[in-house]
Formats: sequence, structure tokens, C-alpha cells
Amino acid sequence: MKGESKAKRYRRSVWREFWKQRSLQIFVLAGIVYILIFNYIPMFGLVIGFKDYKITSGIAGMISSPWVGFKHFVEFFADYKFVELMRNTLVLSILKLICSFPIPIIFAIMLNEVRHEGTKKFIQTISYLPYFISWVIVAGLLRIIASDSGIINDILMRAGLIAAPLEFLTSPRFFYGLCILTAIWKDTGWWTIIFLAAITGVDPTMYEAASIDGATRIQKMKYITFPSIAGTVTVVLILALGNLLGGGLSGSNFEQSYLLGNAGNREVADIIQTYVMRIGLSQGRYSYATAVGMLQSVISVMLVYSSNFISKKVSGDGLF
Amino acid sequence: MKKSVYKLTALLMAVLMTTASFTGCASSKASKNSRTDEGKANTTGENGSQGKVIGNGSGDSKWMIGDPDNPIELTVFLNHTWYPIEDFTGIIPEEITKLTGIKLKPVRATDYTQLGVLASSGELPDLIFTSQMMDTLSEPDICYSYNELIDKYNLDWKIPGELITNAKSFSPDDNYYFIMSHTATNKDWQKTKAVPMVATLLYRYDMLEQLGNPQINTLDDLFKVYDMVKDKWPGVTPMNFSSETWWLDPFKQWSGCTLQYFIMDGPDDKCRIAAKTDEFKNYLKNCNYMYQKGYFNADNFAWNSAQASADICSGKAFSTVGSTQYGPGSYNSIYDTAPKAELREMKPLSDYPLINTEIGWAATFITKNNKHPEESIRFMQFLFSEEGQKLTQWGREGKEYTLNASGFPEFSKEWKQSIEDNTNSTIYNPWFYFGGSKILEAESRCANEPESFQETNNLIRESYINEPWYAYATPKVNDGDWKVLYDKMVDEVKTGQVKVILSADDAEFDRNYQEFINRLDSIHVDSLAEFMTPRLSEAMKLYADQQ
Amino acid sequence: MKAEGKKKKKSMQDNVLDAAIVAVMILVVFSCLYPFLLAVIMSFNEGIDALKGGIYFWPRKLTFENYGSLFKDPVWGNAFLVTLARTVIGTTMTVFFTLFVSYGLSHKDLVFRKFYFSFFIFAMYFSGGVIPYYILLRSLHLLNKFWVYVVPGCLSLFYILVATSFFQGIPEEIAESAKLDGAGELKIFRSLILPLSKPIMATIAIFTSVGHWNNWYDSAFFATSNKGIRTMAYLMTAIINQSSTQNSAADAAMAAGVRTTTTLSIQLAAMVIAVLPILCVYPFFQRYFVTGLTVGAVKS
Repeated sequence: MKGESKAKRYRRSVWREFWKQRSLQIFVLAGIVYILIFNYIPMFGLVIGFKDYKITSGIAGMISSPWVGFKHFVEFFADYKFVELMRNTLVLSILKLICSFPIPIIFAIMLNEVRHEGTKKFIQTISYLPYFISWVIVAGLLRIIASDSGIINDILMRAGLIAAPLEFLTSPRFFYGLCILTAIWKDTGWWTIIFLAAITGVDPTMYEAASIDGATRIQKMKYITFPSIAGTVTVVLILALGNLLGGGLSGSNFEQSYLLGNAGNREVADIIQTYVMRIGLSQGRYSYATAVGMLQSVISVMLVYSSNFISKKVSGDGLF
Repeated sequence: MKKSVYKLTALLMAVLMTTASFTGCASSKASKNSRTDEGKANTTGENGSQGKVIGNGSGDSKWMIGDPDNPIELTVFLNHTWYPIEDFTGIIPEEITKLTGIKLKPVRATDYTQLGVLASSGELPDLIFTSQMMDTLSEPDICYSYNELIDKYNLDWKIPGELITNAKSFSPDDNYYFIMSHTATNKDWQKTKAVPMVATLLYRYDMLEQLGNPQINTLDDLFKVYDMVKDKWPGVTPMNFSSETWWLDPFKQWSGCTLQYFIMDGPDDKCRIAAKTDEFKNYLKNCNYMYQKGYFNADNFAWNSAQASADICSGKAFSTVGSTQYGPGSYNSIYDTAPKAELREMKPLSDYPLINTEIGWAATFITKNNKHPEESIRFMQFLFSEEGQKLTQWGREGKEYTLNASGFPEFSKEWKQSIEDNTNSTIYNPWFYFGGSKILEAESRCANEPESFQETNNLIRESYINEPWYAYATPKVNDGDWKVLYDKMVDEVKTGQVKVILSADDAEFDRNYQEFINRLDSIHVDSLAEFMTPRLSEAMKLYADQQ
Repeated sequence: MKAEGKKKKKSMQDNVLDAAIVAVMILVVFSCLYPFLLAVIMSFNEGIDALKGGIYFWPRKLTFENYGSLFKDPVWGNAFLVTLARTVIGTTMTVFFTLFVSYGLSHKDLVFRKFYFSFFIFAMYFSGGVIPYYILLRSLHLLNKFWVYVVPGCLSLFYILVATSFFQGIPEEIAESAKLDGAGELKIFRSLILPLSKPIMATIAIFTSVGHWNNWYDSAFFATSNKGIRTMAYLMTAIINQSSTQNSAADAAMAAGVRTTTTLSIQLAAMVIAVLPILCVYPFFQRYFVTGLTVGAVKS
């Protein structure tokens, strides 16, 4: 009896609190309703991952197609290429994260140190130009300059560093390096914007106080700038982890694999998304593609929750 | 506090209502438009269809289906993202409407997944012109079958049996839902002087002359010439190719590997997997030999066809893998670097036949959303007729072209100029060739080729033979897991061979080749061969009955 | 003496730091600027010629054909207006809606806060695919209308999370003091928080506007039969598609025409056209990335 009334009282106080905050609640509920309509309603389409859906059976077919349970998932795990695809995807993603995540942060802090406003703006504008060069163009340009007879091999051979041209485009050895370097080059400037926005939120009086105390610039960066943007860094890191399978900060795995991958480097370049596209969507196998997509979503959500948990344990601060 | 809450909700409501009213306004406009469209489409076909001509029978054209002054409009989805046109305008479309009283309203795909979305949401247009998803679309729920329409409206359309059998292979029942365009039977090829479009090796004849014009009759001769090229011109690669189109196909055929995936010699034979045969190994060995000797660069596997042609045009390559039918523009810029350059076609370097397993290019489906099925099927009959084919592919006889002694079209000055200007698609628009003939296409392209090609073309044509039963028996969507297995095998053969070809030495070649075979075995290709044996046997008998 | 020694040490450290920063900046400017300039140069060069390599500082065979082929479709003027309209309207809607929701979410004492977060995060990673989405848009009567460009995407899940973090950084005293003065949440949001949010507003605005400007997908899939509202990005994608040779029939078809453009050269021209407006507009946003916006408010 006592337990019941306690629970009831708790519930009543929750709703009372809710009513007190009702204006703020409306702020958020507006978003909830919107997402409910545009994101959650279409999610019913996920069921076809558990069915044998034929596209020509239309919408009704999504409900009436036969259930096959976990057949597509099993097929994916049992695929002769599964281990290879998993390895490729994870290696590429993790390498990219380790190499390319710290760089926009460091760059933003460094950029903040540039004193001349005009120069700062100029450099920042230049730095995000690569973001606009689409992957298709990057791949196209690479095919010219990194080809066996292209300028890079030309320079290396003339300098006497190599005897025969390096097969950048088709050899498995170079694929990862190519992907990571181009990802860093392309993503850094753009992501610096977010971190720079966070840095501008730092109270300048803190810097003044630190100067009076005799702190060096490096010390200021270490003790003022970096901790102030730690919150933003954490958020972006957790979200990037959630998008791990997509690759890097901008989910570049698919484009790179699709464009820079070819028959020569297929054994390292083929990732889950490209394989599923070839064997799944291109052949009209929507059920299979949906199933594998769902698998990736589950992994992403698990990554977000676990990294948020760890972050809270370590720094007391997390995404939510 | 209370005031602000009300203000908030009021604001939200205002936003939502404004949005809703906009969508509401616009939707009423849209429905108004569609009503007027329905009014226009007067179904002249409804009343009786004896004989083959309907409509106002204004006499001039025997293909009159609608009224040229008030044509029947059919929407069509062009499932080719690369299509140069999206409008039914130009000299040829106008002529089509004049002759048939039909007008098309095309929408072009920008992405190949669009068709899937349209199909599953039930928003398909009247016609679909596509070279993909043919097995998926051959469904009685969403498309009319041609035979049912031909029977219902008593059309006098005699379709060659082979074409019907080809189309039936895609459907789950005994109907056929389309006829493939650009199909040609063996008999058709015997009647023409044109050459089929196959992969071939184009080489610099002028450079060969400088080497003393040695005879090239076998692959070994070719390799010797490549050695000479490397000696004399160190900066020139003997050969290039592109992974986008023809790969190393000529070498496949010249090594004895005449079929891609399945090989079966007769209805009583057993099906074998082509990739596991000795001939395929021979082909891999030859290519690997070429790679080891430096006859081509590995990065060709990443090149597109524009890069390959640019490479040979800049004088950096001696030969390139191209097609037997190429236009004047493909290699024009070679004259900038080498004004005396002359490209010639390599004749077949072996006696093996050139087996063609493809049964055509694209299909036109008549969907169940189509309110004019009779007009549509008659329109298809027109497009497949000789008159329709000539009009849609070549234009009007006497105006756009005249036939020369070989039966090839001689195009008018204006037509040729429009090709130079790149205005051919907009002025003439020969892109509604839904019933296009492969022979006519070949003839128009061969009309552009130099004299020196004729002999090689004849040799190629004589060794060319159709074997459509392979396409018939290949697993389709309705075969479920077998199709998945087939797709995986195709994928593996296509990409797995590259590692073998790029082996650095013979020992590595053996290792890589063994690994290639092991991977194929791990996807159980032999069980696929067993599955295919009875199917191929049945298919062979089916086609034999029609010869 | 000691003070002087300290000063000397500082300037040594400072010099090293400065040198490192200068070196990094030079590397960044060169590695980002040169490829972009090269792309611009190559867009003015004949495509087929460019494939031969060897173009470094100026076009070898100057041509405007790459740009010309992008504009040969007479509808492009209209497409430009459509794209401009959707970018301005869509960005404005997205910025305000996202900040609106994030501000609410940033209050740590909000009831059901954890549930809301999970709700948004789950939606970020799970999607039913394009077919159900298409059906939804159809039931909402948004298909083939201009509003399909701005209404469905105006709440960015990613930026909700980033903006929430940003708002959590704003001291609570600001809102507290306003509440003591009797202001409601909406008023606080409008008059106090928004002016302080200039950096995050600018950030969301930049990212969203670029997304809108380059979006061809919704034009292709959700406005298929309304040729009048096609976006510029759609037109350019269509033209790039036409120049590709994915198909042996296309190969021969292209062979029938004499062109100097290649897929790559047209893509480069398209890229320049897509980037130019952003390069013009971005500096305008840059002045919001200025330190000290928050400080003034606290002090007052």
C-alpha cells in the first residue's frame, strides 16, 4: 500500500513538474511531433527486412509479403565475403577516426591564435574549399595525377626514389592511405567551423586573467581553450562514433569505396555498403538491403549509447 | 507566464496552418490539371478493333492510330540516366506524330533506384523504357502482356519466334511482357554487310608500318610486335584498355575462352563453369604475361573509357581495346599529336568463334496504369516495323539519308553537320527507337568507317554467332536464391580475375589462380552448374525448334 | 633579472609556437587552394585534352564549352530561382526550428529529457528507406510541389544535438534574471538567447544552405513530374549523367557525336558554379564567429 501511494505521488509530481515547464516542453514537443511524422512513420518500412518483399506488390505488399524472419541477416553473416567486408569497413572507419578526428580541433585552436583577423578569415575560407570538391571529382582528379604515368609517379621516378611506377590506384597497399589522406584533406576545414564556433563562445576575460597570472600561450590553450570546447568535442565525437560505419566525420566510406575502389583493390576497398549495393539494391533485393541497413543502424545506436556512457564515466559530461 | 504559453501555441498553430493551406492550394491546382488531361484523351480505341487500322483513317499513313492534330499523349519513363534527351521534340518525333497520331511525354531517370520507388508506390507512367529490372517488371499485376493485347485487339503483328522466346524467359508465366529492342538473329546478320558491335583491338597502323609492317596472325605475333614497340618507343605503352567498357575481352576470345559464365556443348552435355576451364586459365595466363612484360599498366583497371581514348590520342599507347563500331569523334584528337596517325582494326587472332549470348538491349513495358493499351500496343508494332525502325533511327528517307549500294545509309550534309555541332539530339532526336533494330544501328555506324576496316569486319561477322539459350536459362528474380548465387559468381569472376592477372611472377600467378578457384568453390558454383544443366538443355531444344 | 629571464623564455616558446602555426597555415593554404584552383583551371580546358595530363597553372586548350553545356537547358534560369528560394526559405526555417527545439532540450531539469534524447538519436540512425518516405510525402500532398524541398527537412537531428550542447554552455543566470523580471520562455528565447546564438546560428545556416543548394535528390525522386520546380543541382546532375559512358550503347552513342567535353570536365564546371555563391556568402557569416558575444550579456 505504501509503495503504491509513493509511486502515485511520484507520478503526480512528475506531471506537476511537467506542467510547470509547459512552455519549454512545447519547444521540444514541437520537434518530437515533427520527427514522429517524418522519421518514425516511414520506419514501418523496416519490416521488409524480415520479409520476402517484391517491389511490384506495392505498399500492400509490405504487409502481405511472407515473413522470413532472420533469413536475410543469416545470409549476410554467412556470406563468403562477410569477414572481409567487416574487416574492411572497420579498419577504414577506425583509421579514419583516429587520424582525422583530432585534426580539426587542433587546427581550430591554432587558427584561433592567428592574430590578424583578415588573415584568419582568409585561411579559414581556403581551408574549407576541399569540402566542395565532390568525391566524384576527387576521384577523377586522382585518376589523372596518381595514375602510373601521372605527375606523382613522374616526380618520384625523376627524383630517383622509385624504379617503377607505384600503382596507387589499383594496388591494395595504397588504398587505405589514399582514403585517409583525402578524407582528412576534405573534411578538416569544414568541421573546423563547428569547433571555431565553440571557441568563440569562450569568455575573453578568462584569457585576460590568465595573462595577468603569467600563463604562456600554450598554457592558455591547454587550460582555457581546450576545456571550454570539450563539450562540443564530446558531442561531435560521440556522433562520429555513431556514424562509424559510415566512415570518418562525413561518412565518406561509401563514396571513397565506390569511386576509388576498382577490380584491382577490391579486396580492401569493398565495404558493407558497396557490396550490399551491388548484390542487393542493384538487383532489386530491397529486403536484403533493408536488413543489412538495419544491422548497421543497430550497431550505430549501440556505439552512441556506449560511448556516451563511457564519456560520462570519464569526464562527467556526455551527449545526454 | 500563461500569456507566453498561449502565444507559443498560437505561433505553432499559425505555422502549421500556413503550411497546410499552401499544400492544400497547390493540390487543388494539380487535380484541376489532371482532369483536363483526362478530357483530352479521347479513347478512339474503345469502339471496335477489327483489322489493323483505327482512328480517323485519314488514309495517308497505314500506321495511323490517333489523330495527328489532337494526338494521344502517352507518358513514358526513360530508365537511362545517360539519355541525351528528355523531350519529344525534333524532326523525327514530329514525323512520328504525323504518321501515328501518338505523342510521347517522357521523363528521364536521374538515378536507377527511381523506377523501384515508382513501381512500389503504384505511380508508374503509361510506358516504361528500360534495360534493367526486366524480370521484375514482367508481372501480370503491373503490366499488360503483349500477347494478351495482341490477341484482344487482333493485331496483325508477326513477331519472330526467337524474340518471343527471349522475352518469355523473363516472365513467371507463359506470357511475354515486352519485346527486346536491338536483337538480331543469325539470319539477320547474314543479310547485311555491317559488323556487330564487339570488342576489338585498334592499333596504330602508321607505327606498325615504321616497324616494317610485320604480319600479325596469332597472339604470339602480336606479343612480338609489342616487344618491338617497347624497344623503339620507350615512352609508349603497347596497349591500354578501360575497365568501364570492354576490359580485355578480345584476349578472352583469342585465348579460346568463348563464353563468360556457363558452357554447354549440347542438350545432352553437362553444364560447366567457364571460369574454371583451362581456356579461362589460358586467357588469364596470356594477360598476366602481358602485364609482366609491361604491355599495359595496372591502372587501366581504374580507367574510364574517356581516359583510355585520351591516352591513345596523346600518342602514349600503340593499341587500345575499343569496339568495332565507333564514331568519327572518338579518336579525333589523335591528329593533333600525330597528323599521320591511322587507326586500324585487328583481325581475329584465332579461329575461335565469337559467341554472343546477349539477346537485346531494352524493353518497353505497357503498365496497367495505361489508359490506352490498344493504342500503345499498336504504337509498339509501328516502332518494331521496318518503317518505324528506319524513321526512329535514321530519319526520313530522301531527306535525312539515302541508301547506297551496300545498303548503308548515306546521311545528308545537315545531319552530318549536326553531329559535328552536337545538335543531332535536339534537331533530329533519333532517340525514340524503342523497337530499334541492331542491324540498322550497325549499318549506320559502319557507314562512317574507313575502307580498311571492311575486310576485318567481314572476318569478324563471319565468326559471330548468336547463342541465346544462355540468356534464356540464366537465373532470374523468380529463381530466388539461384539468382543470388549467380550474381555472386558474376561479381567474383569479374573482380577476382584482376588479382590473378596482376601477379608479379609465375609462382604468384599459380597461388593467386588457386585462390581464385577456391573462392569460386566457396560459393558453390558447381551446384549452380548442376542447376543450369536441365535448364540449358530445355532452352537449347526450345530454340532448335525455331530454326 | 628573473622577470627578464621569464620574458625571454616566453618569447622563445612563443616564437616556436608562432613558427609552427605559420608552417601549418602555409601547408593548409597550399594544399587546399591549389587543388581548387587546378579544378577551376581544368574546367576552362577541353575535357579530352585535360585527360592527357600536364595542366598545372593555366588552361592549355581554353574553352567555355564545359560551362556552356551546363546551361544549354533553357530551364536553368528558373532552376536558379527555385534553388535560391529553397535555400533561403529552407535555411531560415531550419535554423529557427532547430534552435527552438534545442533550447528546450538544453534545460537539464526538463522532464522526460532522456526519453527525448533517445527519441531523436534513434531517429538519426534508423530509417525505413525511400519507399515509405515517398508514400508519406504523397499522403501529405507534398509531392511535386515546391514545399517538398523545405518542409520535410527543416529539423536537423544532428544540429539539435550540437545546438543543445551549445546552449548548455550559456550561463543560467541570464535566463534566471529575465524570469525574475517576469519574462516568459518565448520572450527569453526571442530577445535574449537568440542574439547570443549568432555563432551557432551561423554554423547551422552555413551547413544547411550548402545542403539545400546542392540537393538534387529530392528534385529527382519527389518532384519527378513537375519539371517547373527542378533545382540547379538536378539539372547539373542530369547533364553529368548524359556525359557518362556507363553503357555500351551509350559508348557508341557518344561516339556518334564529336565532343571535347568529358564527364570530369563538366563536373568541374558544375563544381565551380556550385561553390561560387557560397564563397560569396560565407564571408558574410564569418563575422558572427567573433568572441565575446556571451560576455556582454553576463556583465550587464
